[in-house]
Amino acid sequence: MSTGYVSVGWNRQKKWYDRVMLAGILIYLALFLGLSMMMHPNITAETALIRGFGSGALVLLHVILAMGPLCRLDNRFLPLLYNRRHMGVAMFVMGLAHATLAVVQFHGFSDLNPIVSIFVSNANYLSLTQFPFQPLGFFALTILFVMAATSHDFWLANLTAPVWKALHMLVYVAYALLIGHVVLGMIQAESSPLIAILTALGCLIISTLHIWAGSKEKQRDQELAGNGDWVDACSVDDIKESRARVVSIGGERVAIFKYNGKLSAVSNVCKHQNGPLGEGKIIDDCITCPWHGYQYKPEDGASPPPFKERVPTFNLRLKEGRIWVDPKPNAAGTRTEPQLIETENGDQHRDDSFYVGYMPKGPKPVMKRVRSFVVGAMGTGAAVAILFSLTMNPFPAAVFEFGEVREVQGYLKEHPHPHLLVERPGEQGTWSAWYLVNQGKFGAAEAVAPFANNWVSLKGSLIYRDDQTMVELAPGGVKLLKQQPAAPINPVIAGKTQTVRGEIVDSKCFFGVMNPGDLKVHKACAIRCIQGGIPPFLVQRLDDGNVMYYLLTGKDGKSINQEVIPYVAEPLEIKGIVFKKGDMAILEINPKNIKRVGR
Amino acid sequence: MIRQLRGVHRLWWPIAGLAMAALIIAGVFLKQSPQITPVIRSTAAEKNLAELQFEAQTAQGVTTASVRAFSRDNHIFLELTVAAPLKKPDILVYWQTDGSPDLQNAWLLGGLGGGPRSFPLPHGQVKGKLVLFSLAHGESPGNIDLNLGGLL
Repeated sequence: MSTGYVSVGWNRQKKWYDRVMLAGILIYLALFLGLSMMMHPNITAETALIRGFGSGALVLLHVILAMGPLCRLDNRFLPLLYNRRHMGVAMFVMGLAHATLAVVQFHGFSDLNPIVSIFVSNANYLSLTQFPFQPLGFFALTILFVMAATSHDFWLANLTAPVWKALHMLVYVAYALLIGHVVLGMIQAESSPLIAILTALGCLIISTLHIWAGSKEKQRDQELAGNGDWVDACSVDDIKESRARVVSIGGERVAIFKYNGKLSAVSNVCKHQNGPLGEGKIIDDCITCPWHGYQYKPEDGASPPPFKERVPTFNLRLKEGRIWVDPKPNAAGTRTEPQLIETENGDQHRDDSFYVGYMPKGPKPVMKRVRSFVVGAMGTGAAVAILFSLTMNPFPAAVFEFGEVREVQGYLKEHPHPHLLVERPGEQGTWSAWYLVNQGKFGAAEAVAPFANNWVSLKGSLIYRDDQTMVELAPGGVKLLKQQPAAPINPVIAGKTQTVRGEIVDSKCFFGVMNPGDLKVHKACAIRCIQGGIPPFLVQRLDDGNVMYYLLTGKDGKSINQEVIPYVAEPLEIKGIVFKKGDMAILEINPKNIKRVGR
Repeated sequence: MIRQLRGVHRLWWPIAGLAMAALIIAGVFLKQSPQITPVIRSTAAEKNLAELQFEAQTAQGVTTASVRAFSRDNHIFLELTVAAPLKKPDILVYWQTDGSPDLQNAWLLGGLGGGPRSFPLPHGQVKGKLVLFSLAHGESPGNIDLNLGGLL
């Protein structure tokens, strides 16, 4: 505590608190990222970071949310609250890193504002399994931002403790939103049940702790029966020396302190963060709040100068060893005459289990509890990092040669989607078709139109997976070749009507720009890409590990990008005509023949 | 105010706890898994002729590729499997018999996919070299000499 505002009132415990917290975060990230890279060599750095920051923030939020109820259930956990705000801010920063990377990756580089894209790209709000999970994360992060921004004592003082407290209770809403974000996002994409089990376990532990602590608080709030104006609160012997007994009178908790042969009563609510003064201790003749060590004189409820905080006081009477309390509070800071009592010798220092952060050393029982919590939290975090990294879906070998520009030559075709025919060596004179796309989430139709049906040289970066190849064109990278031999013949093998089961993906991400580039977690990005003109593919997964790739077109090879958007990233059954054009497998469909086959 | 907030807390957690539990259960049970299509395999009898391994260059190092030669319906097939993905673009599989440094006279068997793929050998071919060639990188990640003559 300080008389003026400083960014952080550092002391030994705060420094240790932050060191331990940072060590925990770094251990989590190192374990998750290290194991992910080792076990999944094809994972991209962006995906590893997005998952590392996101899961780390969620683990940290569980730790934070466990602290409050644990302190209500056992006050030896109280030192954990001392610097909890730093933990909250650190958790927000991790969440922000997760969100920034995800928004840039999934919603950036398209023709729509990335924030708008979060809400409109996947507009399947009426389906549970296809529900857009990213807006839930956005709202949760907004709440966490408001909390982090107002975490300083400046805001606490200016908003007043009750308003600040109510605002910060929105963390419960943020938690529920994040559970929804995980359930409707990652859990829908991952084949391992581990994330679902861990999420359910975390949710169960946090909910149980809060319900348990809430029920204990309810018992404390049982009103004492009054006799006239005054209320029989307790016996003098019920209170330990230098400690208080908390009773609920007239809708307010009153803390009755016994100290140095005297009794005084004040409101139980600390002016700082509404901490429970009655769980504090008399130190240096002052009531000391167990949360952050704010102090008040028991006789008048005023903080010692130069501090200015004040709490209401209550009048007391003693009758035959019983303490009676006047339920009408005095104005904050009003002096009341302490009731005098007889004390036994040596009674004054009977209870030493109290500690706040600015005290030099914590008592053993308290520190033991704090250590057990820290070890438990770190162990849980490490276990989550290890299990999560080991059980993620396999990452396929899909490559984007980002930043590596190559020059290739071939015959440029515009339809059904822009592609370059590159001659293969060998006797038969066949051609590889390399699809062409623009940078960002854009197709190359406009860029290549002036060069269509010509021999060209083009510069770009390769994207490839299995037997599919794509080139992301460098700006201005297409040039006509001087020599224009005859156009190549890419033979068409007549098609037949087939029903193919699979998933519609945007080929650019699926072929290698993102990994994973499919399933629910990638849905919004795939929609943006297909909307921007990236060729849509139906991918059919075979049980021998191969994937069949079908370029989706409408009748006569017309683009059907807009028509397939409602079906992206869902299990589908599509009836259409399958035919081959060189090495391109094309599925010509009527969008009316797309059928959802998921539950 | 504090008692009101405590009341909100007491009300929130049982409701939110139940709602989150219901959401997790619904999310798990209604989850849509990607579909796996079974491959229609030939019912004709296969006769294994040989199984050989060779080293193939990947983008990061070296891996093992294996070739299984088998006959079916009087045709010889080569089934090619790589232990780790080669991570090279547009890998084509050739059958070369003339030993020339380029592939101009070689037979193109097909493209290499993500899983094992079988390629029929050109009619009458039993001795030659199986060559992998990345068209976009213009390099060969690996090759192996095969002589199936004595095995038929």
